[in-house]
Amino acid sequence: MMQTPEFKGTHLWDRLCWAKENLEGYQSDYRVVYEDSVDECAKILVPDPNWMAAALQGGILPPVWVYHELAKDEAQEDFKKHTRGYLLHQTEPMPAMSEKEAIEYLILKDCPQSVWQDWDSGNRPKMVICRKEQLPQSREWRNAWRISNEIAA
Amino acid sequence: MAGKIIADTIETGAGADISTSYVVNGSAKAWNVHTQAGTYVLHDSLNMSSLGDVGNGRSQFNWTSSFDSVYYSATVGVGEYNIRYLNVPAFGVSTNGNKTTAVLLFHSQKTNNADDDTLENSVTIHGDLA
Repeated sequence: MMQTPEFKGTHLWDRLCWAKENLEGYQSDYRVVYEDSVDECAKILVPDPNWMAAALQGGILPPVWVYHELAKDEAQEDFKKHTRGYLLHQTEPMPAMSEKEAIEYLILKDCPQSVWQDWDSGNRPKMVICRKEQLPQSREWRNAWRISNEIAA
Repeated sequence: MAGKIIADTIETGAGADISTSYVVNGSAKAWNVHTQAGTYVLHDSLNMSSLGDVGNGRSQFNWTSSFDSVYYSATVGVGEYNIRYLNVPAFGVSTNGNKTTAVLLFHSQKTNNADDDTLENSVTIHGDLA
């Protein structure tokens, strides 16, 4: 396995370019299905193969709390530009993750907080991790897809 | 052969010096090629963590290295093999509350102005990173 250079203070984008150049993309079979609004259909998260390779490799991606800090900044009414982008670049990168850990990280990064904070508090879960083969094979009525009531929380 | 060029400036044929950062900053900061039909497939990309299938003809791009503001530029293309759309708003990128420094929502449409899945979609993003 190729050794990740010791990225200290290296811009995250430069680290991603190194990963793109040196790592083989990894297509995960896992998908995250979630519902964040009663008025909208279920949404499905597809992990990026290059991102997944970087997560499995380790030493490239920042900890997920960095994204939450930047999201807090962006939620401010007077937000114009990020002033704490250095968090992405200067925070110690994450060590190598398993595929399961990478999916959990991705949920915390790319699913709305309102979903993962209390995903199993209702009568049925708001979020499910499945394999892509378990999704409907036809996209007919895609905008009506919901998580099945038969899945217990 | 491995090598490294370190230069602060590049001189043009006309004798003008430009900063190498000008060239680096002008490169695309993110791109992807994805298919919406069937189970969404992200074929290849740069600077993405995931692709969201958020409805018929609707994709969500989640960036890994966030942009510094929401004013980054997206160039998009939508196509299906051997099909040429006529009179089409064949692509669109939403800025209506669905664009942040970390997320961009993408709609593809065919001829009836309704969001619809397409086989090959490509997006290239230029802008400044956080």
